[in-house]
Amino acid sequence: MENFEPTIIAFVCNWCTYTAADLAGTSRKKYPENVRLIKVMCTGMVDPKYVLKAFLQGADAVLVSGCHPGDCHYINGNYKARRRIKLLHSVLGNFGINKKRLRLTWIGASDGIEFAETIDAMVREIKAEGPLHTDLKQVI
Amino acid sequence: MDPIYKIEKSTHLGSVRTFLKAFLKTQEDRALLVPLRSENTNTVMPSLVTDPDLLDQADPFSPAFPMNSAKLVSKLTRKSSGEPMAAFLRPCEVRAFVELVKIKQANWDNLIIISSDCAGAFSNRDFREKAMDGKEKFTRDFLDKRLGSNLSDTMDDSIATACTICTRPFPETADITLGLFHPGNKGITLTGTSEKGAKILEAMTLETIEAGEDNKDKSQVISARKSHEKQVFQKLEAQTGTLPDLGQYLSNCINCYNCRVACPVCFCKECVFNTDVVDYEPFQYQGWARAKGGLKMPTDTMFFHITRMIHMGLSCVGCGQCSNACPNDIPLAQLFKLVGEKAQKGFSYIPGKDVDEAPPLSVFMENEFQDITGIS
Ligand code: SF4
Ligand code: SF4
Ligand code: FES
Repeated sequence: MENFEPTIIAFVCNWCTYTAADLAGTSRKKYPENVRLIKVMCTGMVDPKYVLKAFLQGADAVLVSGCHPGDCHYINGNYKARRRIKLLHSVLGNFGINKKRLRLTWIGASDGIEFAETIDAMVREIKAEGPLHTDLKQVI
Repeated sequence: MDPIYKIEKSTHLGSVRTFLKAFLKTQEDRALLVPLRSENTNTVMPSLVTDPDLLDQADPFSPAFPMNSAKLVSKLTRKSSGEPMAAFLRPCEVRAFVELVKIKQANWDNLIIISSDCAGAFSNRDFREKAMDGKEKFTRDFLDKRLGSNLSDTMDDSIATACTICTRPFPETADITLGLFHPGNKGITLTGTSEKGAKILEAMTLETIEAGEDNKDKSQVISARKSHEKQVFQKLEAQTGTLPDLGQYLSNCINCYNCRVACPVCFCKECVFNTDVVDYEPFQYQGWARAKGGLKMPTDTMFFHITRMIHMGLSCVGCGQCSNACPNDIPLAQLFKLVGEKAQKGFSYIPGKDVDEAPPLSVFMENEFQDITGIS
């Protein structure tokens, strides 16, 4: 498990967390390479299927990150996302995908440092959790 | 207190037929959807009846449960036809119907729902085997046996698993509620459990009885079911606790999607699994196979099942039709019910209970579930 490098898929909102990730980059704040960013226009468009498919295709963890409550560009996309993540926690929890592997955070556009720290913390956590064996050919 | 009416004939079937005929005669312009025994074959299928004489073949207590009729009532009511209707439904069918009303795929305005205490049902396969040509004697024997054992689950002929773990076998929402737990031997009781239902019964000049005369303890039935359900769930959790375990559980699945078609609350007009989202290019399969050395075909079995859980789990009414429809005998109903009930609990949601209760994913609040955000 020493050399385990988790794969984390992050669905990040264009208006906040994506900009924060950009800011982390331009301020030369390093964050682990384990994360693959997927830019979406709002957390409200993250279909639970995207999250599920990411896990089934080999992600060890998924992050959904968007605007703070009250700041969503589309007014309430993030509140809808919150309910969907709650549902996903419940459903996926039955099959060994615990809450640590699916995180929802609110990270504003100016929070470059918070973004880097969040990814750091997630990578640490998932390293401790170990890999999620989903890419067994039998189970897909 | 609403009056309780009763009809007592020499068989339960006789009692219910007497009632249904009288009902249809006083409600002349209503068509009634009711399980009807076919004359030549040993099938009992929901049928839309307008001629009261046909109701001599009505067999709503038969343990045949070929499909969840909520889907049919949805077909019949999704647009107003101006014609009044009635439907005789099992409690789980009513629950599914209520879920469909919420998402505007069914309408209760011009409809009278009659629902009865439910003695359970066989899987389609078991019914065909066991009932053979037993005709309605099979129904009579079944009902006597089930009522005799207080709807317990330890009968020799095992009913569908979904029915053995059903903790809501008594109607909760209906216009007219039909009871089988009454002191007489072969009678039925009738209660108007909505304003329109009460009015209809009132006009029918039926004999009334005193309340509190049930000869069986419903709470006992429910607690026995609950403890059985717990056992089934515990075993299931041990069997499906990881993704590879779930893969094992579903390993005979051929992606035929029968379970989805049979499910009354799988509500999407077009299922994403019928779209080009999963219509991959031939070269993609080869790529995946190469990447891993092998690829199970058909692909996306787990993706399909878990997506279904996410879509309809909050509305799962535990009717068991998914298991019933599976050509490969995959015990889906208990799995979907287990996963569904956990999710329902998270939103304090009880599917099929109240038409005014919004489905959890159709609403949200500003200050809720704050514990699920952030990293600990
Ligand atoms: S998932 Fe199965 S048990 Fe649940 S409502 Fe659908 S068909 Fe009935
Ligand atoms: S009915 Fe059975 S085989 Fe068909 S998709 Fe459902 S689980 Fe798979
Ligand atoms: S716009 Fe950022 S979460 Fe909706």
